[in-house]
Amino acid sequence: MSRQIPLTVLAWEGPQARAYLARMKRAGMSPERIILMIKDPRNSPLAKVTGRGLAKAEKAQERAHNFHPHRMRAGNRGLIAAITAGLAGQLDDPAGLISEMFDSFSYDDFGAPVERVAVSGYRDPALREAIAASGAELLLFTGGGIMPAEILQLPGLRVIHVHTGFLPDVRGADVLLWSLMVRGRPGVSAFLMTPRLDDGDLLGAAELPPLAIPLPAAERPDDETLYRSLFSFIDPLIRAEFVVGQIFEPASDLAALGSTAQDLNVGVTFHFMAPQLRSAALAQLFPSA
Amino acid sequence: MSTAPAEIIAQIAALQPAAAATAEGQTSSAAVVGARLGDGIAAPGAERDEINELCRQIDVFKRLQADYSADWKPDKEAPLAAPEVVAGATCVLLINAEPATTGNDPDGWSLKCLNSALKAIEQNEQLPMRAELSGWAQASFSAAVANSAGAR
Repeated sequence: MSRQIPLTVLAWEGPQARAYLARMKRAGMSPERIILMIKDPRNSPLAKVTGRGLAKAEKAQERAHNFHPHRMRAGNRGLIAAITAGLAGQLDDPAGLISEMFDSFSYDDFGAPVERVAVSGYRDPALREAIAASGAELLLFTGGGIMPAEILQLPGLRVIHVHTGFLPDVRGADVLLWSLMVRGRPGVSAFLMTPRLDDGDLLGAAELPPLAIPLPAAERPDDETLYRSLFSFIDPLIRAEFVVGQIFEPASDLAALGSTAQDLNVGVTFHFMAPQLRSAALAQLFPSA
Repeated sequence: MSTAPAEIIAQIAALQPAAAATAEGQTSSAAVVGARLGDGIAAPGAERDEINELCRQIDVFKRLQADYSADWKPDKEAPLAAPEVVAGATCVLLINAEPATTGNDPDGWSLKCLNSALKAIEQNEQLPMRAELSGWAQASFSAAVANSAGAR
């Protein structure tokens, strides 16, 4: 029997949304609703795809957005085994969670009504209308673009974003890799989104145990695949473990979740790593076994 | 034998053009580079702001504009900074990357500067003294990685 929590999951199809839902299910929690964004192939605000067209678009999106994790699970089994072994120090049964994310996954299996909304992106007025009409007060952002101010400023709405850097110290992009290079360990933070970058009030932040995923030379793919494995498995599972295990589970009343202002005078905003630096960071994360 | 950073800085400083006047709300990259080239490593706080703006242009815009505003979107019509100014900006970034090479970079800001310097060199094939800047950046990179928190 799962416990319904007053949370709407704004699902942008992909590993992150799936990791949140799989981890919530494991914790015995169901969100009150899921709003599943479906990329509208018509890309027109006037004539939205519906019916079988929408189902077809959902299927195409499922294949496209999960192409890399599916490909890695089929072709890089040694890498997946190393990732699940490495993540075992951070969370319980990562292999089981990865299986839940990608084997027979359906958004309809999480005990919550699923509203499928055809959109061109986050700026599509249909998305704002769907969120406003849902009456959601607490929304979990799952990535896939920049949330516009028009949504963030809906009356009574708070939007949670989880970031794999320890805030306020580590802001920006590629922050899991930056955290490993600069602080020697991953960090993770949950905060309430604002229209600016990573500066919202904190729901919680933590630095995690050092993370290393030793890889035998024979199992080592190229850096591009290693980088994709971060966003297919490692980063989503770290975020999901933190927000569900450290924020949602301990909260007696999620609707009254407290937050703390960040000190905006500290911290560094990092940008995407140059290939050379990224390679060095990946070598630290995936040392030779 | 590689050229010493002090020699690279002196030669590139001599190439810097005078900064032209800017429109209201705009900052001149040449003015920032000209001022920062003689100022050594920026202290945490406001001194870093101008250098963060250089990083933002190189990392987000993927180019250095002659003048820029606080906007996060590049102005595609804006003229680019002269190659000498980009070389100067790269010098400024490498000067500020120095603490990372000795493991004295607790918040990662110096490594961020090194990251942007690597990209500036990669993005600009016409940089004056590109080979010398690249040699300096590579030496800094090797030392910074060896001294990073993740390597300790």
